[in-house]
Amino acid sequence: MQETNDEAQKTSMGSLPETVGIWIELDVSTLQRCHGEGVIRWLRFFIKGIDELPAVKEVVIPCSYKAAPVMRQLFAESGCCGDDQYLVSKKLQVKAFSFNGSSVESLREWLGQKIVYLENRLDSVRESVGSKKILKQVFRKIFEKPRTLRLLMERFALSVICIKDLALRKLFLKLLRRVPIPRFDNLALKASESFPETSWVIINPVWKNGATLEGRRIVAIPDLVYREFPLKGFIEKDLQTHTNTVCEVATAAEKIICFSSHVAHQQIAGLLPDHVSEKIRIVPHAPIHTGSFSDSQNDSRIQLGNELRQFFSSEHLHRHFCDFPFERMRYVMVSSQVRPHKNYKRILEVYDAILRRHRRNIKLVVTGHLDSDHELAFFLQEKGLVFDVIQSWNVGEDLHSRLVRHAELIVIPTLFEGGIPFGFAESVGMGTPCAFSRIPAFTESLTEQELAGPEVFNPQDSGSIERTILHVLDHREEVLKRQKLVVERLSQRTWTNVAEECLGY
Amino acid sequence: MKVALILPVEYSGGTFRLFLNLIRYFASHSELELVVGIPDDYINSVKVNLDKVHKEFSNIEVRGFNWRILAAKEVEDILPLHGVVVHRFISKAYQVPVDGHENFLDCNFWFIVSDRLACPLVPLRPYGIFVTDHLQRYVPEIFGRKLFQDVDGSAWNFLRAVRNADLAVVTSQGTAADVEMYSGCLNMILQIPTTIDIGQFLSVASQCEQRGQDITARPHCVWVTNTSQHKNHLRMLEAIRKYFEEHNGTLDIVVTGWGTDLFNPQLVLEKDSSRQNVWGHGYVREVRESVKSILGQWAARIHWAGEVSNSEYIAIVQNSQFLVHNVLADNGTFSVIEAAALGRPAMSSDYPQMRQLNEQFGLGLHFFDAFDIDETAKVMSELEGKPIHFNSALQERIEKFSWHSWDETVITVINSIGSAPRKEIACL
Repeated sequence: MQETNDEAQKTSMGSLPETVGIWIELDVSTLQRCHGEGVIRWLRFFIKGIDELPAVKEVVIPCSYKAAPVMRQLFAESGCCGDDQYLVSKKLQVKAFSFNGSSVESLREWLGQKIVYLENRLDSVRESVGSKKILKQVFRKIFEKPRTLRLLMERFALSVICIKDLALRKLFLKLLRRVPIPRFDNLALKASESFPETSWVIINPVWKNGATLEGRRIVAIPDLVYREFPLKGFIEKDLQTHTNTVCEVATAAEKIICFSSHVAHQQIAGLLPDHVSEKIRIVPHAPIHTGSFSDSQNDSRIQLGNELRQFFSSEHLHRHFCDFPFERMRYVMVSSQVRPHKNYKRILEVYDAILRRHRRNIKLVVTGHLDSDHELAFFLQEKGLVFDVIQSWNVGEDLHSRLVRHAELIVIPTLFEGGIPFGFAESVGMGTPCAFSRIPAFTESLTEQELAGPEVFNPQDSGSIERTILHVLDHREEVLKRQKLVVERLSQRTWTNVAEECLGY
Repeated sequence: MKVALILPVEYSGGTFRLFLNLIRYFASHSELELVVGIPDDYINSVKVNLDKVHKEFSNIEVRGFNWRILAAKEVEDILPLHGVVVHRFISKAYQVPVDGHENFLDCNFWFIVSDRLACPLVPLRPYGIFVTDHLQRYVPEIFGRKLFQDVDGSAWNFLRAVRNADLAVVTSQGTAADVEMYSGCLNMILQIPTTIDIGQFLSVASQCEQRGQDITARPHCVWVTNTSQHKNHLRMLEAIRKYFEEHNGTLDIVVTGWGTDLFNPQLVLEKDSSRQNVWGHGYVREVRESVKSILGQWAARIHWAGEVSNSEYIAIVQNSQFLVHNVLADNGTFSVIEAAALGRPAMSSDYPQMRQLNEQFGLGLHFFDAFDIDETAKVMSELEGKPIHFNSALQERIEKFSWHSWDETVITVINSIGSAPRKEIACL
């Protein structure tokens, strides 16, 4: 394989495609949960970077009619609604295609909506009755002799609502199973026909229909993390299937992008035949800078408090957080999903020590859904941390940015990342220092001097993480000052550079 | 203004002494009418103490009461009748005090002494809570996983009581910080001075000359503790081992406090003993079994005195070289002040409440990290042979920080809350 070669890059950058296609092979419900995902954030900034490349005339994202509004929302300019004129780039258009015929899709959508409606009605009956157990008891009583007319009528109404709704829901589910599901192979075909001579960027190597796109295929392999860290819930067969798909898609590519040498040399090494490996190019990230807030610190904190209370009004932790005075909260923040290599268990143990041993009156805000992981949920309950660890997962971009802005520090405890974590530049740009792990994603981008500071820790060593967090808490301004210089240096690389290196022939 | 001062559960010890001092404080303000609420089943047990306070202040009315549990729907119907607006009801059950007559509704303000309300309080009157500590934030073992898991359980409800209190009163900055950030009190948080109530102790101490004690003839230090999990026993045992093995410690250790004799592996407890439950408790058993496994031959140097009388305790401390206070968290422990009154140095685990006591009373405590066994052992060895020293200013400070040191602030705030329109409650 070949490393980034400055001379070769410069030569190739002279020619860029006129049309760039972004291939996203995700169903609608997954897309709806994608906002804030690393892949989507990369694409957003990549597409914005294309704005400064006059040779590229248009960027298209093909999708189904149903997915189109969601796609527009994902690629909308911050704070905008997602109409075509308010996407992250004026060159971008979201192009909707019918997979199976619009009437079939309409039928599918109608059935889906009806099912959701019926389920909501049944849920509200369950809630008002009090519990499933009570609901069962009520159903039993339906066939008993009623004592009063009122009771009889109540039971009758309940049985009509519940039985009818249950029966209808069952029928609609049966029908839905018979309606053909959208097929991405059809979409790939239609997209290829509509946009010939397009350079397709396929950001995930398991989106196998990307390999069938006509035109030039640029496949990104952000990581093959499972080759270094075990993944929960996956058997060997699943991983092998995953690997096979990666190889298949990579083989079909004209160019393969990795965000770091570590991924190329450690995770991909040996997987692809030599003639395929030679197509790999390392294209590191540029820093991400989210917009600043125009309101004052105080107003922003009030807004943060309101938004968090709103967020928790429906979460199961709402009995404690629905009216919590978040405005006065001091906290350390970890912005990361729950994955084994994200090191959450260790950071929770460290936080436990910081709170209890070092008696720092500070909370831990995480963006991962810790309760979805049995081990982490158990730890939180056993250690009684449920009131001090705040799980603000799947929050919108605005709330996320406010959380970063008002944190005492951001901690990046991950054991691995495919490229330099976006959170580093993002937090420093917001005026929040960052404590981070010494991993290849950082060591490839930062100098030894920049890595020598006490804000860098060994992610395998709880003591190291603990000491680092305490140090940064006590020396915020000093650390922030130093990190601003680092981000300034990193910002010499722009997303236009990234786009150019990805797209260049 | 008529204030109900309510003891929510059957407290004894420090919290009950605090309750009595609060009675004195409120009763000393003649412009207030005071009603004292005590759980029905507990009134007879504390009659002697109440009679004593009654002699000091005859203007207090004492009522027995019980807690009545109400379902959410009942509370939703009742509160508007009392002019209380609640935007969201988020609890399944609530509790309200009933005394069989006025149910404290003849009072303008309810002041609950501790946050231990198993269900959220029905705020028929504006109320304050005296928060002694949020110990569970630092020692979660005292509650256990299931309590933290149950969103409708007491661990959650204790905090809800504080959240909606019109006034939270604390005696330390550490607890104030917890009330602000852990339970998240939405209204006023007031810190008043820690008061000390060791008059009885000092009286006994002054009556007797230095006396001998029967526990051990050997030079010793005294470790004052009890069977609660936050008392850090296992780390202390490790520290004691290091004290002997690595620092050539020469002193025996006398352990006093309620239930501490149950840690003695050689104790044979009678089968019908009322303390069988405590003896068999998982944690007590764990500590007892660890004594031999951790200390080995050094176990013989530990003397498990258990709970002793005031005069015996004074003799033990007078004959000791220093006192050890090792807990993970609490609202401050007066044993170190008692030691200082007897001229003995003391070492204490380092947490904000003890730092505050140290400063308030000029104790000169030797602090150590409760989690650092090496440091604990080192401080023990450093205190060996330290001379007896009586702090001349201590007596004055002890006298200064009685309940008399509480100024008008609490009364003023209660008056202000009681006379203002009721605040709307976001979530109850």
